[in-house]
Amino acid sequence: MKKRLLIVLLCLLLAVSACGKTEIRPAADEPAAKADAQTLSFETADLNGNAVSSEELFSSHKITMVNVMTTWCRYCIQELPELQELSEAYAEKDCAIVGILYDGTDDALLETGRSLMEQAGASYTVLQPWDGMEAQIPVQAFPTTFFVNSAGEIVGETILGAELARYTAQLDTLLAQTAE
Amino acid sequence: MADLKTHRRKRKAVQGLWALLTNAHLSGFVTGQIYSGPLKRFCVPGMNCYACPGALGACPIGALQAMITGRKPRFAFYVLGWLALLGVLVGRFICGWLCPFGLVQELLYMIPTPKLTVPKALDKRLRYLKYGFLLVFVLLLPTILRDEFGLSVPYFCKWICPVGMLEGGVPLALLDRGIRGAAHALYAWKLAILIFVLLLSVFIHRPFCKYVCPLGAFYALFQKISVLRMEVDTDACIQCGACARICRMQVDPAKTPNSAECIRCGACIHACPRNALKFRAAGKGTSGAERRTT
Repeated sequence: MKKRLLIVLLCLLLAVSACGKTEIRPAADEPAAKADAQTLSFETADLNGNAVSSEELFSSHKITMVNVMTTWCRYCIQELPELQELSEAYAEKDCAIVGILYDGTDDALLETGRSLMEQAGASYTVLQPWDGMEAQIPVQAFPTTFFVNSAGEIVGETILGAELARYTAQLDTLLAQTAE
Repeated sequence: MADLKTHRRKRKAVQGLWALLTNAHLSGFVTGQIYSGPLKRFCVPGMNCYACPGALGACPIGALQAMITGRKPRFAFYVLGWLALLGVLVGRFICGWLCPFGLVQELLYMIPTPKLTVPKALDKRLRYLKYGFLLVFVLLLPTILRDEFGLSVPYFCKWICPVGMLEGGVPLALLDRGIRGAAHALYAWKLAILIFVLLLSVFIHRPFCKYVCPLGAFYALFQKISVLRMEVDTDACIQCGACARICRMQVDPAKTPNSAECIRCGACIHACPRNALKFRAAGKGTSGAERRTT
């Protein structure tokens, strides 16, 4: 009886061990574009309902910094004014800052997102979630920031936490690499 | 009367199996990805970090703070209700049988070293600290300290909790380069607390449970009114003190069988030479001999 119980429990354990998800590749020491670099492709809308296609979005800038946030994440919201400044400063270097409201899954949350952006004085594009987003961009800690080149490939280092200095360092490094 | 050694083994087995069962998302320890499926919205009864890569459920203390720190602070009805239900049913039995961090401390205490006795007067006072941690870090600070956007953070999780550090902070930093990169002064502080608690646990039995745990403090509030209770058969008791001597929480079960400091491990029941101590469900008639129940 006891042995059987143990076996049942072990089977339960195995059954419950779900598979993990793919990660955004944090390629810290590797050069920008590799043969197997992860390419992002999606269709969604921004917070104001304007349609956004990933191809159009990424191809129109040398580097796009994608900042993943939620409505409840204090550190994400607190860095919004700085991100707005960053967005303005790097616009002339052909870089864009784009946000993703990771928990913007209903109208109320989208409205919250809009009002937070307004309250923070930030006006850069913020994207709504799309079907398959969590598989393409699995994020479990916020804010998470990654960088995309004009071909839609994820490049550079994925940064966890609101670290402005690291954002600018990455942007400068990646810009220098695209110039080569 | 069952052997004390057998009882200890059985309890360890329950603790161990429960810890495994509630952290069975084993792939998380390989990928560094936390389980985020439907089970995660339920709280486990003991201290177990949501961010543990293996965790299938949420931490009740984490969940409490999460509900409080939302933009519209909601009285955390669901979580408090669930915890109150558990408390009213079994009190701190959960501490003794279903808490993985209690298990960790007990395993460390098994390391054969001389053990420290905290002076009684100091120990008594320090036991009140955990209510302070519950009130201030879990309930008050997340409620009161909000930024201009109305947002707050879970202060107990952020500044204090060694459980989250052991189960989440350390594994995730080992598995995930991104999280490693975000580890600075706060991580160092939390790591220091964790190492301190783990070291202390070698010399003092369950120091976190005695002095810090806000969940234990919460369940302790229900200890005297819970359905599960301990009773002393005062006719059978010969006041030999065996129960008090065996108790590692420094409770005297013959005097205060339902003390707020008792984690209901049951060791005293098996140490009693006269079978005078028993677990009972309140309401189940105990006829005949006089019972002491406070």
